[in-house]
Amino acid sequence: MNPVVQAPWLVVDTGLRPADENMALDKALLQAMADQAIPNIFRFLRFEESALVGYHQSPDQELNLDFCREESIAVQRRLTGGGALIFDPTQIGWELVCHRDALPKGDMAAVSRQICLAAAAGLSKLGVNARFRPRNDIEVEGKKISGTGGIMDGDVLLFQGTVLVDLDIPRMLRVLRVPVEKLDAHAIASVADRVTSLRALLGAAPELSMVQEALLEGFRLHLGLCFETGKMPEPVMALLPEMLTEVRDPEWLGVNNRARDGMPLRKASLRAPGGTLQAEILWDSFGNRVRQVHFSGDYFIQPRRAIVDMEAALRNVHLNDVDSILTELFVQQHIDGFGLQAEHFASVLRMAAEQP
Amino acid sequence: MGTVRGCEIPEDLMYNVDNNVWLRKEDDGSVTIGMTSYACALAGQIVSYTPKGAGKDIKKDKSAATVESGKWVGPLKSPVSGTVVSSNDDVAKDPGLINKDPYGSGWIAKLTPADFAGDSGELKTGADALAAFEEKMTADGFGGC
Repeated sequence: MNPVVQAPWLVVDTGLRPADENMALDKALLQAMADQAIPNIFRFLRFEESALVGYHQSPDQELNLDFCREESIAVQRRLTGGGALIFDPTQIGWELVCHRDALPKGDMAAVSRQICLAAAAGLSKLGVNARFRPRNDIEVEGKKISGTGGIMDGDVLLFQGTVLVDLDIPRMLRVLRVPVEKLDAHAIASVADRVTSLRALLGAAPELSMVQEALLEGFRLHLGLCFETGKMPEPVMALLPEMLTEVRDPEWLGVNNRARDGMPLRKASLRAPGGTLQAEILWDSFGNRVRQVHFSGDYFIQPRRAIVDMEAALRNVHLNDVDSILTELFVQQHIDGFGLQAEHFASVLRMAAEQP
Repeated sequence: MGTVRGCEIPEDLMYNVDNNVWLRKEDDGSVTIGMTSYACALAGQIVSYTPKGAGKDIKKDKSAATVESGKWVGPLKSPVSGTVVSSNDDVAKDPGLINKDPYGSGWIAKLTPADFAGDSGELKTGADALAAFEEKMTADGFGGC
């Protein structure tokens, strides 16, 4: 792809911070960029243990808030879209804050794709085979290692991602609501089939500085960006107190608050020619959306990663769109369910959604 | 119905082209605002919609609602200052309506404008709007709807 020729981006490492400070810095960066007061920024960020919901998500629906309170896990809302996630000090966040013309032209999906390809190229420098997985994930051998999301405000954009350097799956399952009934060894193994970390892949967690340098190299190679390291510019720090007040206001966290029972866990089983298929879903009864799905059962399917890809493609989709998404995926990936067809997966989802 | 690079741009509406929003003046003096078909094409399938509540005052070019598509969040900026009269309950239930019918059932908000005459002077309509969108699409490197 054609690199974008431009002035150096300022690389700022804001270190380990509480979640509210990181969110407030994101707001301050967006404002300072809109004010034309700062250069393009590439920020590295880390979090004290936190649970972060996506901009449009409800903490009550997405998180186990009692556990977060008991364990003093901070709860915050991101400015960016996507799903809830946990952050702990082992993980690295990265983000770009810039004007729209600093990145390749195209629609939002194209911009996401180019940024994720750059991040994947960077992570691959560490010795893992990282790849972009639509819509916004980076994976290694079918397992997610980085999730991303963005905000576009006028011609200013902020796009951010995570890198799972290490991962405590049992703790993650206690913090996040996931579409499984019991948090047992089977559930942990099931998540381990879908998510991975640099430590799991490499045998040891690499130094944070190595991961940071690898990511920058990916953006140099793929997007032609050049970097210089420095401190957070003063216009951003001047805005920080005001932005901290905003994100500490309960109204910020609760702007999309919805009752937990508005997103119930539902499940259904279907006997089909290729075996028995079970779907567990977190069901958004207000919006008729499948928020998350977990497929299990007794069946064979090729390629092996088909189930994980279906689950990724079916995150936060309207029930009316389920058939077309699955049909397209079956064709694209030449999925062979040995009798199980796209319509069987769609049927079991509908059955789960329609449970009383 | 005007069309620019395959994107419908009704010539009877008013537009803030930079913010990619349309405005319709209603007979009762209120205004209805929404995303253009071009904005929908850039965003992709909309999956979430959070409007400002009825009674909220919104300044010109400030957010009247936020939408999300493919993990991107973006504000829809009101072309005029005003007070929110209503948001779209149908869109709240099915944000994909914005993509399906951006100028009809996928409207974003209805407002009582504070100073319509003062705020609407820079909005474009008719052939001027089509030309301005053509220019914007060129600058954005947009191939077409």
